[in-house]
Amino acid sequence: MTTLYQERREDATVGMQTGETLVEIDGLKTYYGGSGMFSGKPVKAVDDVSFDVHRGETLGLVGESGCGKSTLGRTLMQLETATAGDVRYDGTDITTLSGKNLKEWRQNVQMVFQDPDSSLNTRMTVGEIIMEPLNVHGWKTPQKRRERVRALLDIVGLAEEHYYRYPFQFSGGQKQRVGIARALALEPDFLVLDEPVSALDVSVQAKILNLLDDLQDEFGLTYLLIAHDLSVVEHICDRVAVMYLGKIMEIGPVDAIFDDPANPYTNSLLSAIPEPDPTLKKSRITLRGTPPSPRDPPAGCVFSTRCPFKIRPEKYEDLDDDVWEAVEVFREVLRERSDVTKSVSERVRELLGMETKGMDVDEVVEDAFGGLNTPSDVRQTIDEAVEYVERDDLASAQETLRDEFGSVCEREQPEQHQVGDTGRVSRCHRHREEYMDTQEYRATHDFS
Amino acid sequence: MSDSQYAPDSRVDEEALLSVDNLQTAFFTDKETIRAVDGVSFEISRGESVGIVGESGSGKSVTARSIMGLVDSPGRIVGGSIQYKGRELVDNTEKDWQQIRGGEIAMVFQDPLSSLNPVYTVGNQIKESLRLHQGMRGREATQKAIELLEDVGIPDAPRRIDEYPHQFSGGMRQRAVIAVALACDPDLLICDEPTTALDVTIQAQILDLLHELKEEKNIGIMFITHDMGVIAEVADRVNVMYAGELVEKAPVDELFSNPKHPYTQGLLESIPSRNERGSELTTIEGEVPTPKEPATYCRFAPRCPKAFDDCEQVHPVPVAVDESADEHEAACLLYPEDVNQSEAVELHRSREDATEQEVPE
Repeated sequence: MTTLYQERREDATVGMQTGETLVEIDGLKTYYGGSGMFSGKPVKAVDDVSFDVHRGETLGLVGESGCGKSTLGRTLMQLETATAGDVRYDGTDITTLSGKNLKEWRQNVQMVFQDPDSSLNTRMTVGEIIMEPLNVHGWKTPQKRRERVRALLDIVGLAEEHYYRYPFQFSGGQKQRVGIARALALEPDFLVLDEPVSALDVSVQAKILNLLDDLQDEFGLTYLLIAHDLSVVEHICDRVAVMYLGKIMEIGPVDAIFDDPANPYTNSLLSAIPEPDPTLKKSRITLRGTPPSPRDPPAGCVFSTRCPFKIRPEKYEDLDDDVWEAVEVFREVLRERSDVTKSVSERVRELLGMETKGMDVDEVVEDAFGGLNTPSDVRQTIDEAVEYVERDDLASAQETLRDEFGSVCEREQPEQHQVGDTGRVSRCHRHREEYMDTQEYRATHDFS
Repeated sequence: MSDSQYAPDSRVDEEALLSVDNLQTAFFTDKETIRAVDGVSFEISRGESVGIVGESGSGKSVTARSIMGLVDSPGRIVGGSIQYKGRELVDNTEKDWQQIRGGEIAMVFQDPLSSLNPVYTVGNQIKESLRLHQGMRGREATQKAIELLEDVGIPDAPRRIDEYPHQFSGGMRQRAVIAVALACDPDLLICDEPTTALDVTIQAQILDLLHELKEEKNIGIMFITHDMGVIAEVADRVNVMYAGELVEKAPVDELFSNPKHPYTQGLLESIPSRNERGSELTTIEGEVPTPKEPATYCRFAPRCPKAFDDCEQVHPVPVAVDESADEHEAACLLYPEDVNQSEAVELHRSREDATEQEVPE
C-alpha cells in the first residue's frame, strides 16, 4: 500500500502547505437547451460561477436540489460541456481539451457517485469494476493491474476475498467503498464526490467520512464534496461554497460560514438544519415556497423571490412585518400562476375571446391580508394589481407590485463582496454600505 | 364507516390511542426465518408524536406496516397484539383492515412521487379518499379538498387542485400526500421517513406542518426516521430500534441528554454535528445483523464496547434504567443502574419473553 501513491505524496504535502491553486474556475456557465432556432429559453444550470479549489483541501458545495451543484461538478470533469467560461486545471484550460488529450487528463480527476446501486455494474465482480479504469487507460500489465486492485481493496477497508464477489453481496457502505476504490485506481489528484454518503445510515456514513479523511491525509487528495447535508459539510470541509439557482451565493472558510453566515441564503439554509438536541430552541427561518425555475431566473438577485432579509423600499421600511409578509405571499401566488403553462383548451378559449377559467384572486387576498391592519397606500396598490389580474393581465399586475414594493434586490444583480479578512466572498446587496447588514437585520426583526 | 364500532373518542382520551404489545413479525423463506420485528412494545396517545429511529434493516418500516396490516406473504404477524382504541387488530380480516386503513390510521411514505398517481389531478386523488372514507361527492368534495390543501399550506389551492403531481414541486407533493392522508380524517398518522427525500429548507416546512397538525387536530403521530436531528425536532417520545427489538425508549429530552443503551450512545456520537469540526468521527464497529434465531443473547453484544461475558448468555429485557426513572427504559444488562451487576443480570435472566422462543411457522 505504501507504494501506491508514494511518488506524488511528497509533492502533495508541499502543495498543501503553500495552498496553491489546483483548479481555477472563471465565469463558468452551463446551459441546457435553448440553442436551436425554435427552442425556448435555456435552463441556466450553472450561471457565471468563479472560484478556486486549492490543492489538498476539501471544498464543500451545498445547495438545494436543482441549484446546479451536480451540474457544476460534472462540468469540472468535462462530463458536461461548458457553455462559456474557463476551467483551468493545473494551468491548462480543460474546456478546450478533446480526444486523446482529454482522455489523458481524465486520469487526474475521478468521481464518486451518490447511489452505489446504480453506479456499479451488477454483472461485474468487484475486482472487474475496480480494474475497469486501469483497462481503459491501458495501465501496465494485467498481472500488475490485479495486484493493484488487491491493494486498492485493502486501502478502502475491504478484504481480498471480496475480489470475486458481486455488488449485490455487499451492504450500502461496502458498495460505496468499492466506488471509492475505483475512483482511486488511476492515482487521481482531484476527486469530485457527488453526495457520497447521503444514501447511507448515520453510523455507516461516519465510517465512509473517516475513510475519505484518511485517504486525503495519506495521498494528499483534493476533494470537491457536493452535498445537501450541511452537518456533513461542516464536519469534513475546509471551505464551503453555497449555491442557489446556478450562482455561488457565498464562499469561504467553514468556520466563518457556519459560525457567522453573511449571506441571507446561507442564514436561512443553516437555520433549517434540524439539530440533534431537543433542548436547543433556535429561531428557525422557514423559507416560503420553492426556488424559481432556472429557465427564467429573477431579474435581480436570484434569491430575491424568497429572501426573508430582502431590502425594502425606503417608504416601507417601517411597515409592519406581517403586512410585508402578506404582500410577499400575494406576489408569490401571482408568480406561481404565471409559471403554470396553460392547457391547450385554455389557450383556445383565450384566442376565441371566450371566458377563461377565471383569475379569481379575492380569496388569495383575503387569506393573505385578512385580519391585518393594512395601510391605505399598500391596500391601493394591491387593489390595482387585483384589477389587472381579473382582466387576466398577470404581467401588468406583477409589474405594478414590483414598482411599488421592489427594491434594489429585484432590479440589480448583486456584486460579490469581500466579507471579513478570511477570504470570504458573498453575493448580496446588504453588504453595501448604505444598507443594514444581514445579521443586524435579523436581530431587529422577528422570524419566528 | 360506522363510528359506533370504535369506542367513543371521549373515553379513548384516557387510554393510549395505539398500544403495541410484544409484536412479532417474521418473514418465512425456504432457507431461514427472519424475525424482522421481535417483541416490540410501545404506546401512542392522542396529540403526541412518537419517534422510531434505527439504522436500515432494524425493523422500523415493518413495524409500521404491521400496524397498517400491510405485511404481505411470506411475512406474517406471529405474536403479540396491536390494540387500536381498545380493539385488537392482529386477527383482523382484510375487510376489517380496510375500515382501519385510511379512516383510522393513515400513512405517509418516503417518496411522494410514487405515492401519487401521475395520471390523476391532485384534487381527484384527494376526492377519491373523501368519497371512500367520508362518502362525499361533487361540489361538497371539491370544497373540502380545497380546504385540505389550504390546511397543509399550499397557496392558491382552488387553482392548484386541478393540477397534476408533476406540476407540483417536491415539498408540495409531500404536502399533497399529507392532504390525501388527512382527507380520511385519521386519528393516527404514520409517517415513514416523510422528509428523507426532501431538501432541508423544504424539510423544515414539512416538520412545521406536522407539528401544527398534531396540535390542531389532536392526532397521534408515529414518526419513523433514521435522522436524529429530525427526531429531536418532531418527537415527544423516542423508541430506538436495533435488529428487530426496541433497545431504548425515553422522552426526547431525556434520550438526547442522557442516552443509556450503548447503541443509542454510539448512534448519537456518530452524528457529524455532535463531533468537533474536523476531528475523526466516532463510529460503531460492525454492521446490523439480520435477526434469524431466537434471541438468547444480546444482539448488539458483538458491536458493543461495553459487552461482558453475560451478554452472550442472557437476553436483556426492557427495564427502567434506575428506580427514579419511570419513562426511561433500556434493554441492556447494565441496567437497572442502581443494583449491582450480577443482580441486574439475574433480573434479566428471570424475566422470560417471547423473543427467546422459536416462532411458529
